[in-house]
Amino acid sequence: MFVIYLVLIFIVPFVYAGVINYIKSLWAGRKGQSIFQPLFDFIKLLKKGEVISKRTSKIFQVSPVIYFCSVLISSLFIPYGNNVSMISFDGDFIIFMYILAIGNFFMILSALDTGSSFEGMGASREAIFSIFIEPSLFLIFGSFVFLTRNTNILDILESFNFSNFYSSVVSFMSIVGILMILVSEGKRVPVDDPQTHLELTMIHEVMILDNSGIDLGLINYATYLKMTVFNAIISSILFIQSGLLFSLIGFLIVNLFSAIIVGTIESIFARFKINYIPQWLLTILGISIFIVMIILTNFGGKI
Amino acid sequence: MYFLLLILFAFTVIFFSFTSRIKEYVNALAFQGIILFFIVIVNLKTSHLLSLIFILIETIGFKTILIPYILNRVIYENEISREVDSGVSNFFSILAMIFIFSFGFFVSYVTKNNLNLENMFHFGISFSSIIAGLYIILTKKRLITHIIGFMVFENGIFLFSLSVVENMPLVVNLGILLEIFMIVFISGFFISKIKENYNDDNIDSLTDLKD
Repeated sequence: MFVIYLVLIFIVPFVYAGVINYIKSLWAGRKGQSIFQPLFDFIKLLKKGEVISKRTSKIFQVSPVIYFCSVLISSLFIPYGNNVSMISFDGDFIIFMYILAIGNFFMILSALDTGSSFEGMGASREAIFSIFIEPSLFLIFGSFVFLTRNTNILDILESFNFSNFYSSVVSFMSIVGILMILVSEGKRVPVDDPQTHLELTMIHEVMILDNSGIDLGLINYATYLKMTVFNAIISSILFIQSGLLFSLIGFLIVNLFSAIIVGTIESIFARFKINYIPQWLLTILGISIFIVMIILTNFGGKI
Repeated sequence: MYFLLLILFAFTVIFFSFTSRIKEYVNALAFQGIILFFIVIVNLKTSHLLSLIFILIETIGFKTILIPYILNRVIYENEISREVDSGVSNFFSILAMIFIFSFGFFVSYVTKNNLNLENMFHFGISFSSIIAGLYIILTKKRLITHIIGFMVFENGIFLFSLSVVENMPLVVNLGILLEIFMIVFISGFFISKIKENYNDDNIDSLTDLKD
């Protein structure tokens, strides 16, 4: 079990990012790189040295590690496939979100620490977007708590059932909301473009302009892992009750579909103008509020 | 199914705060007509052929085909494509819609015991749609969007009537339908005439009227 868990945490995020790139190259009519290319890049970055600006303080050096650790720890709260999650206790969904937020907070601090005006701009954008994402995620999990009467993530996901039509609709809307959160937290098009190198349009990429070597590798891995964590939540909602084998296959299928969706969106949509992005994020908040309304009006808080 | 249709209807109402293209507004309006048709069919308690035909004409005929057709003609003839000067940005419109829907659900939650509401969700969405229609009328500056806002308002009332009244008399329905049709029809002419004189259908032009 433990080995499967580790393999999923380590391999799937890279393959997920590789499949997204592969889908993008298919849309562009190119042959495309190997789906393991992000893993090779990660290994290459681990072997490289770092260039650290003299203007930066210790915060810049520790932030990538804290960001990586925060995502890694939060990934331990989520069951991958049918595995029991590594960390589980009552009310852990709140800790899960705060740990994710700590990583973002340190990345913002690190960007501000460089003293670069561009990175400061990216940090300010990231801070604004986090303001929208966190309440949305909170409301979605809060509605799950209402729906299932459990406060720890594993129990919440395990007690999800589709026997009731309302809970099916709530689950469907939550999945849409989580996919939208995945796109914005994973810094993908249309919210952010991971491949742009024009500072004025960047958000996440501009924040990590000064990072190199191992730090850059860890940041990239953490971002891929974060997307996989959201995929794991979706797959747990759908497949957790269907036994070990099926839920594992379900987890991989959800990742594949999610990669196809993200890759396709990146290929056929242009990136949003900066002032349209808050609308996208507000839409996620709207969906999550709507989910809460459905639960309140149909169950009155009781099931 | 019925529940899903209500959610779809709510999303079409929220959609009005996202977009600034008039064409999309009209498409959403037509889609609302189709949703309303299915909501009525799912809710239908009589199997009378005449009432079925009437519902079909009312929702699909009028709300989905005729009124969007008239609106599209007005848009085409007056070369209107985009709600350029809406007064309120889309961001605040989405925020306002979230508040409107929260308020609608809050009202349905508070009044559930007094009104003996069977379906609070239905009540909440229809009530919110009525306020959303008013919001569109208040915040948009083009006359064509005022008509569309009125149609959203009217669709909200239609849905509202389904939640509180079991069966609306046919004559009342016919009266409402005629009124809607007349308003859309006359407003279409009105916009064309304003356009002839002012080259625009922005209501701000009307404040410049002189003797």
